[in-house]
Amino acid sequence: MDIGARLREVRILRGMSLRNLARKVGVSASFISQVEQNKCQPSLDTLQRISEALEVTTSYLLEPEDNGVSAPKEVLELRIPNRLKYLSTLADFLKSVCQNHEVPTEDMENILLAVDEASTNVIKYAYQVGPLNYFKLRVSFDRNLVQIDLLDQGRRFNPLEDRHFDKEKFTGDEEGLGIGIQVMKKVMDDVRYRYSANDGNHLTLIKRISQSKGNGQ
Amino acid sequence: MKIEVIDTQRNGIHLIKVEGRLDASFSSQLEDEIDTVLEQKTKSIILDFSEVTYLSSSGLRVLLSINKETEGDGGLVLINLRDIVKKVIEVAELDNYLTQAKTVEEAMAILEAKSKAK
Repeated sequence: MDIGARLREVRILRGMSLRNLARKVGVSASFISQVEQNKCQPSLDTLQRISEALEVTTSYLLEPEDNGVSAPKEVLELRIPNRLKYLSTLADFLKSVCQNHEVPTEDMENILLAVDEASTNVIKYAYQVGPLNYFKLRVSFDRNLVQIDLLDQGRRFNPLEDRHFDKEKFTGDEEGLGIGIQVMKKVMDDVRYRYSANDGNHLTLIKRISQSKGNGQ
Repeated sequence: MKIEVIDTQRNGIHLIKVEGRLDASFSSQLEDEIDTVLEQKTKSIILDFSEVTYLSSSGLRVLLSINKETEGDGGLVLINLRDIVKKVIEVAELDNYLTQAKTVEEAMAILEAKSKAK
């Protein structure tokens, strides 16, 4: 990811408008916009002020391409068999990681829910259960952002493709109603999917942690 | 962890206590258990969710399926839902679709009123 895209991503996750960020940095909104479009390069001093305003390190904004995945400071990885019975193990792992990072209860519950839905999709639709295989769960923490990446080598499956649950048409037997996707999108701040021949399916879930950090029960 | 289903009948209404985590792995167990209940004459079901610690869209699908199966001839009411379970139902925008009650008595009144209305 280039600096412009990264800047824009962080700014939006911080819920900051162009104008708001520009004011904090002491530049014009159009300047920020041009940086985001990689039409101009900020000086090192300006970049530092932008990083401070966004509460990230300068190196986070400058970080070189890493398959488009941000590489924040602390990263935990778990390899999980493509079996539904491990969903609860996965939930226990994530719960413990979130508690370690003092993620407030409500944010943690949302993360657990989204990851459970996403992992269910990987097992049921990318691997279609099938022979024993593994998918990877990567959890990264950076300040008040939690990023979860799910990587699998199953068949190409984009969970974000449009599906809308229609209560009236539901006969009682269908699977894959799209409710899980709806839930996942609602409880996370950003959900992205990409596919490449090397990496297979790659779903990224991002959650901005509420300011009441540490107040969770 | 597994799903425990305890079924008792009161006034022809099934009161079923469900225990456990209703994710993609365990919700099919609930569906299997309820399928045997649905073979019986009475299709009025109260599900006591006081010991359900988690609900995902897979669990929701099972609830929608039971709801559909019972709607013409009985009904489904959920009671004693934990906040986390309520929240999932709300996020999925199904709170107006799945009937909820606070107590067994309230749930029975809803189901009895439904059967009288037929």
